[in-house]
Amino acid sequence: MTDKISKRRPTFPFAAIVGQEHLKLALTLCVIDPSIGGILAVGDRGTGKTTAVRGLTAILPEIEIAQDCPYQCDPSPNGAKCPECAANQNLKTNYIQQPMVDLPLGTSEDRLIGALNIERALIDGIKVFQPGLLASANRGFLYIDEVNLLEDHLVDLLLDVAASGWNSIERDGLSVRHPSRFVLVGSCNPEEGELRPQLQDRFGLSVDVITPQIIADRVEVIKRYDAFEKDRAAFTAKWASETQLMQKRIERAQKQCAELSIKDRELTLIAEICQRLGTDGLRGELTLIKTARANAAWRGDHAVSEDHILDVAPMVLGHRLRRDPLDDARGGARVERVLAQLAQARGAA
Amino acid sequence: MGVTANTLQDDGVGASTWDAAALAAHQWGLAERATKLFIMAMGQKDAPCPIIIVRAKAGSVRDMFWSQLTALLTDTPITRLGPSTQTSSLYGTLDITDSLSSGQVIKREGLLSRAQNSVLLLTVADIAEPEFIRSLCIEIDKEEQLPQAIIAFDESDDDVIGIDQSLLDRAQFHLDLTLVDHRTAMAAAWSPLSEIKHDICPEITDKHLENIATHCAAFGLHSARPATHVLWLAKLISTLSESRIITLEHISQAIEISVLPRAKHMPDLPPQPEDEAPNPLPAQSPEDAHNDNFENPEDAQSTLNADDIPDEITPEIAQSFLSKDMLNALLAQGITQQKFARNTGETGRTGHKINPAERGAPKPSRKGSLHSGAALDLPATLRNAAPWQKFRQAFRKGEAHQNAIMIWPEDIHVKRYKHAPSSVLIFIVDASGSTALNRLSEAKGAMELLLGESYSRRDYVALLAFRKEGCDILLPPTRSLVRAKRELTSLSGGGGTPLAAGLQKGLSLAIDQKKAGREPTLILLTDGSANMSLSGQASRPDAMADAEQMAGLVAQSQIKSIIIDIGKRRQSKGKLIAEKMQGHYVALPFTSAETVSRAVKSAINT
Repeated sequence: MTDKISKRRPTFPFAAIVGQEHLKLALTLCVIDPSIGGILAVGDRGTGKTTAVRGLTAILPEIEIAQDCPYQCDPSPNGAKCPECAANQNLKTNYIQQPMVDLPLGTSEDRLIGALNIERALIDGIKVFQPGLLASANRGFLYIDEVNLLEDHLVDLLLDVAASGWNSIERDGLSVRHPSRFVLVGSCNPEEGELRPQLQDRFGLSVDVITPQIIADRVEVIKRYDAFEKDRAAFTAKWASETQLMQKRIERAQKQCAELSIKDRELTLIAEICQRLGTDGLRGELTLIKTARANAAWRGDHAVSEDHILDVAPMVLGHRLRRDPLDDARGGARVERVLAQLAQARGAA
Repeated sequence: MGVTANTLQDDGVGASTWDAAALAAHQWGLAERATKLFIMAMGQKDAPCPIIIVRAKAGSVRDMFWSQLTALLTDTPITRLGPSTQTSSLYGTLDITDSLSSGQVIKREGLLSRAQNSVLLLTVADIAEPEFIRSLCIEIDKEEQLPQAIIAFDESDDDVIGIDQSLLDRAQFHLDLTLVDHRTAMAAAWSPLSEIKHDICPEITDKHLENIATHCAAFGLHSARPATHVLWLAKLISTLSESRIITLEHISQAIEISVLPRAKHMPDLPPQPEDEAPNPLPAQSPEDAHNDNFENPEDAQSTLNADDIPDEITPEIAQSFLSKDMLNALLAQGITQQKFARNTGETGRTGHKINPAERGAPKPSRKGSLHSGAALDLPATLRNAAPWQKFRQAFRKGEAHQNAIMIWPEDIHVKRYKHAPSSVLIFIVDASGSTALNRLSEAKGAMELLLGESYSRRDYVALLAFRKEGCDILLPPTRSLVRAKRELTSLSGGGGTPLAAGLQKGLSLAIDQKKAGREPTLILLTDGSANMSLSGQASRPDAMADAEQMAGLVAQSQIKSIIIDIGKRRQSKGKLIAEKMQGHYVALPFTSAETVSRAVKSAINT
C-alpha cells in the first residue's frame, strides 16, 4: 500500500481559520498573559476548537528546554525547574515546539498526574515516578474535550495545578513535585449539562464557539480545508505573511504587557461593571484587569482604555454570573445588555 | 427503480413504491458502491484515513458483505479489535503478566504502530469504551501513526445509541445493511474494482460548494467535517467516472453515502398555508431545483414537529422543499424519524455500561490484572509475594535483577472503590385532557422545584409524557436542566389517559438506566383515572387493569417510585396505583409545590 502520511506535516494555519474571532482572541490573550487562567470553549463538536489550539501552538516560537528532562524544564536562571534540573549545574538544552496535550474523555487520574512506574517497581524493584500528561503539558497547552463530563475531583485538580503552576504527587510512597504551567482549554457541550459554578468560575475566559450561520462562511471553511489538503506546503506559504504578522504582534504584546498602565478611571469602570452584573467574589475584576491589559498590548496601544475593557468583558464575565440553573439566557448576552445600560447611564450623566 | 414526480404526487404515499425487496436491493447496491469508493480512497496518496461505519447485525448478510469486502482488499492485513480493547493498548505498554512470568521485560508494541500497514477492524464498536474511541479519534487527528483504513461494525438496535459521536463525525462512509435480506445478499457477487486514474483532480464550482454546505446545514450537521467528506467523496466519484468536473449527480451520490445516514432531522420547511394544496413540482432541470430550494435556508420559519411527520416521511410536505431525487434517496434508504432521533445521540437507551467512577469509599483490594483504570495496590501485592520468595529463588533466570522481589502475576492486587452511582429522576407526566384542565401548571411548578434541587445533587433527569394513545420520551436522561425546563414549559396536554403506556415506557427506561449503572427513581404525576388501555382501547376497566399490572411490574423490579396525585378530589385510584407500585404517595390538592418537593426529597433519600 502507498506510504500514507509523513510525520509532522504542517498543521492548519491559525490565521486561516474562518471566523471564530472570539476564540482566536481569547487564545491569543492567554498566550500574551498566561496568568489569565485558561479558556472554556462552549460549543458543538467540529467547530474548530482543537484546530485553533493546534494552529496557535504551531506558530508560537520554539522554547528552550532542558534535554533529557521529562518535564521540559526551563533552563533560564529564573525558570521553574524540577529538583533534578535545579541541582544540575551543566544543563544541556534543546529547542522544541510548545507542546499541546489532548486529553481524551475518561482519562484516569494516574494517566493525568503520573504514578509509580510499575515496570521499574516490579521488575527492577526501584521506586520511580512515571510522569503523566501534566508533565508533558508543561510550558504548553492542555486541551480537555468535554470538560463537563470529566470527574469533578479531576477538574478540581487540573484547575489547582493550572493556578499554581506545580504538580505535587504524594501517593504510593512517592513524593514528587514538578513544574506544570500550561494554558488550559476546556471544551464543553452545553446540551450535556454544565460544570459546577465553583469550577466554571476558575476558568479565566469563556467563549461560545458556534458553527457559521451564513452559508457563504461554511463554504469558505470547506474551500480552505480543501486547498489545505491538496497542498499543505503551498497553503501554509500562502498564509505565511499573515502568520508572521501575528507572530510579531504576539511577541511585541508579550513584552509590552507588563509595562502597560491602567488608570483609576478604568479601574472604576471595571468595578462598576462587575457590581452591576452581580458577579461573586473578586476573581472577575482581577481577570478583567489582566485581560483588558493584554488586549491593549495586543492592539499595540500604550494605555488601557474603556474600549479595551468593553471588548473583552463578555468573555471574562459571561460565565461568572450568579444564575438560576434553569435560566436559559447565555451569559455573554446578559453582559452585553448590562454594558449597554451602563453606556446609556453614563451618556445621560 | 425510478420514481417519477407523477408517482409521488398521485400516490400520496411515496413509501409504498419502496417495498421491502426494493429497499433491500437499494441498500445492497449502495453498499457495493460505497465500499468500492472506500477501497479506492485507501489507494490515494496523502489522503485522510478512510473510515467506514457499517450498521449490520451479525449474520449471513454481514458475512457476505465481509467476504466481498475482503476479496476487494486482496492481501492487505486486517487487525481485529474487540469491544473490550483497552485504551492503553493503543500505545506501547509493558506486558506485566508475560514479563513477570519470564523474568524479563517484555513490551507490547502499541496498536497504532503495529497496524500502520493494515486495516483496523472494530467489531461491535457500539459497545466499545468511550475512552478508547475518543483516544483513537485524537490519534486520528494527530496524523502521526495511522492505519490504512478503519472499519467499524455497529450492531445496535434502532432505539439504542450506537457508536460514539466522535468517531461518527470523522467517518466519511456510512452504510446501513439492516434492511438487506439474505436472498439479496446472495444474489450476485460484486463486480471487481475498475481501474482508476488517481491523477485526475476534479474541479468544483462555488455554487456546488454552496449546495454541499446547504445540504449539511439543512440536515442538522453542524460540525465542519461532514461537508469536507462530501467534497472528498464527490471528487472520488468524479474521478471514477473520469470526469474533470464535479457535477450535481456526483454530489448527490456523495450525500447519499455521507450525509443522509447521519442526518439529524428533516430540513426546516417554509410555512405551509392551511388551505393550499401541496405545490406541484415546477418543471425545472434538477440543477435549478437544487439551487432554488436552498437559496436561504435561514429564512425558513417553521420547524416541523415530531407530531407532524409520522414514521414515514410524507412526500407532499417534503417535495415542495427537497428535490425529488433527494426525497427518493431518503425513502430508498429507509430513513425514518426514528433514525433521525438515533443520530442525535438521544434515544434514552445506552448500549454500553457507563464507566463506574473510580472514586468512592475504598473497598478491600483483591486479585486482578493491571490494565488501564486499575490502580496497583503495592503493599498488598508485596505482602502476597513475600512468603514465596525463598521458593521462587529456584526459578531465577540469569544474573539480572538479583535484588528484585520476585513478583508473579498471581500476586497482583488492584484497588477497588465503591461505585457511587449517580441517580436519574424519571418524570412520567400525565398530559391528558383531564389533567390539562386541572393541575398541569401546578404539576409543572412542582417539577421545576425538583429540577432545581437535582442540579445541586448532580442528578440526571428524564421527562416522559403520556397522552392520546401512548407515551413519548420528551427528554432522554440529561444533566442539562436548561433543556429540561424548556421541555417542561412547552408541555401541553390533551386526549385520553394511557396510564399503562406511561408506566411501561418509564419502567423500561428505568431498567435500561439501571443496567447502565445509574440509580433510577420514577416520579409519576397523574390523577390516576386511566381510560386508555395498552392496546389502545378506550375502555376504563381495561385501562385500569393494564395500569395496575404495570404498577405491579414496577414493584417487582424494585425500582423506587413516587406517585404525585394531581386529581381534584382525593382519588382512590391514585392511591391504588401507588399501592400496587409500592411507591410513596403524595397528594397535590390542598398542598403547595414546596410540600411536594419536600416529600419527594425525603422519599428519594430513604
